[in-house]
Amino acid sequence: MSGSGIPTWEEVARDHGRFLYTVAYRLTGNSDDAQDLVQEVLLKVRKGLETYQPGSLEGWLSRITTNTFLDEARRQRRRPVDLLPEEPDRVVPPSPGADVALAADALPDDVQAALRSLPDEYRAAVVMCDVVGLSYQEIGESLDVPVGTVRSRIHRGRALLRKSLR
Amino acid sequence: MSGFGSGTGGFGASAHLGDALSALLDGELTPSQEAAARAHVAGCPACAHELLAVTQARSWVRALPPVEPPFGLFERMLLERPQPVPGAFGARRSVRRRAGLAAVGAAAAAVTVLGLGSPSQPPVSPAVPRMVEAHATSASVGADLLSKLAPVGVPVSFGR
Amino acid sequence: MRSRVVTAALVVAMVGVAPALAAGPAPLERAREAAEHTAFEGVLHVRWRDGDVVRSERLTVEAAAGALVVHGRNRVMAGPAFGRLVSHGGGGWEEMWLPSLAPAHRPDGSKYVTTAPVDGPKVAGRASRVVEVRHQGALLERIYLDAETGLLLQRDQFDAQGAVVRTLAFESLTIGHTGSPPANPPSKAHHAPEAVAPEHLGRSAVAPGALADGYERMGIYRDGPVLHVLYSDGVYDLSVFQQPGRLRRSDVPPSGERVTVGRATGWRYPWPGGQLVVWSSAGRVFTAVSDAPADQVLTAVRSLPPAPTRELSLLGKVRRACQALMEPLG
Repeated sequence: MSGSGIPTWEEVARDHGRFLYTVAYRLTGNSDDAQDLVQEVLLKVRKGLETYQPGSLEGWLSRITTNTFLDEARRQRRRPVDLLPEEPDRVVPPSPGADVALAADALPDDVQAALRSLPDEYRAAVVMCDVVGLSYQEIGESLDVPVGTVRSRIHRGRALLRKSLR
Repeated sequence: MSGFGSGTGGFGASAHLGDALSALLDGELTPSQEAAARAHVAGCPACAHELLAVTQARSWVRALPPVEPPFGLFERMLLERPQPVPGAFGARRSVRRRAGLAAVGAAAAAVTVLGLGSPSQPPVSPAVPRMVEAHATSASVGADLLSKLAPVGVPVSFGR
Repeated sequence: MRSRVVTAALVVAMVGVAPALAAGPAPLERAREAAEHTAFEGVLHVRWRDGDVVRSERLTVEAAAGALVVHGRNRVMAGPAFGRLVSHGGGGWEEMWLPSLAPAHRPDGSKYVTTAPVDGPKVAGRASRVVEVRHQGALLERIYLDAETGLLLQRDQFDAQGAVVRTLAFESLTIGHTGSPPANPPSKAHHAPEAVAPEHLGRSAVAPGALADGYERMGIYRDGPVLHVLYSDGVYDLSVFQQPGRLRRSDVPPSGERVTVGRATGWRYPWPGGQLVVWSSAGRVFTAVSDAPADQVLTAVRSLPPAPTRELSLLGKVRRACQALMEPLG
């Protein structure tokens, strides 16, 4: 440890590599892309360590990871996706007996597949909230969007997840 | 600050909570907003149902386990990248380069040996750190905790 | 003749009821009980040989009320109520083991010869009693136990040339209540495996009831696609993990020592608690993890029966060999 509270690049890779890979895997949905993303992130981490302000290292790492992921995803998208349609939220009407156990446990692979099916921005918000554990404020700052947008993306992401795992 | 509900504006008995339900789950509402939301959910089956749905989705994602990186991923990355801090690895750099060349030579030999395996199976990278921990935690049952379990306090890594 | 009888009597008197050479790891049993019942806190220094370098880490350990916590870059927690938990790099707790999964009874360790304890040097400032673990005459380990509590103070493992392979030693140790006992953490991700009965194993699973040299099967567990078979010889434990797939040279870290397991090429790596060997054979990737010395691990895994394979036509074999040669190097 360098003593000043700023970790070295090796320490980040060694001590937080598993966390980084987990976030990258949950965002990209497959091992090859996750490895590429982690490699990109570590390059940026190397450059960014000089200006890193000691605080939540994992928050900082997940911010870089998610933004790198979204930048790349946007670059690769063929058509722009309208993420927040203007129509008001539709409420799912309760079906008879719906209060009886909605599916007990979902297999991690199924959950990952459902995550993968979400639009990138929704997936990023859900991962930052439920995998990394950041607050809406922190997510908004990381992605440079208002808190209301964060809230919307998380909620719609979860609703879509639930629907695809019925 | 966004409105309380993203429904048709304002809130009252007729407007549904929408994404405020997730804010409620994540503890992102003020105490008074939270109280009002819970009161609404108590009287609104549609929102109660939606709350249950997003609660489940949230708990499924939260329950996802960490994912083990492929065996040796970071060690290989650390080997491939030039080190910014000469002190950490500099003295051993030439050793590692030789090891790299030896590895390629070994790989050439290994391919012919491994060729007798099963190419029809997909390549898989064992989650070694997790296996080490699974071994140590199971082996520590009914045995000396210090010798069997304490070494797990050191993260498993494979580089020099 | 008479002087020999007198000497033997003196020896017996000095060590109390224990005979001069005890089979089985009774001192390790006492160390286990001490770790589970004593309250203590200390700094543990772990060192292990990795090729030509010695790696070193320090961990703090605290124990009270039957629970034990190790703080390193990972944290580890053990307790009778909740099993085994691990946390990585400051992240959340993961439940690795549950009390309901308790393995079968260990063999008695009579494969080894454990010498009677004699007075030893001070370790962490405390008086010690030393035992040696020998196998077929060769010294494998030297274990230093606290004279007062029986707690393990230091444990050194040697190779055939007498060099230290790895060592674990308290640098400082305080016995007695020094703080509040480690609490059961509130939330933990569940990673404990499921126990599998032998009759429920798939046909391609390799899980013999015993391995060469006294390793007896203690349990079988499943964690997703990975099957974990746990063996023990009474002193050392050996786990064989297996999963469908194949291993490429590029999938394993370059620092491994090349070994052969039957007709397969494998790679051996040290870890702070022992050895691990990775190889693939007949469509399965095997990972063996053990605290036994390396040569024992290799002997044991070489005694695994070959996995059942489907017979290929000659054309099929030629096709496979060509595919393999096309595999990119490294």
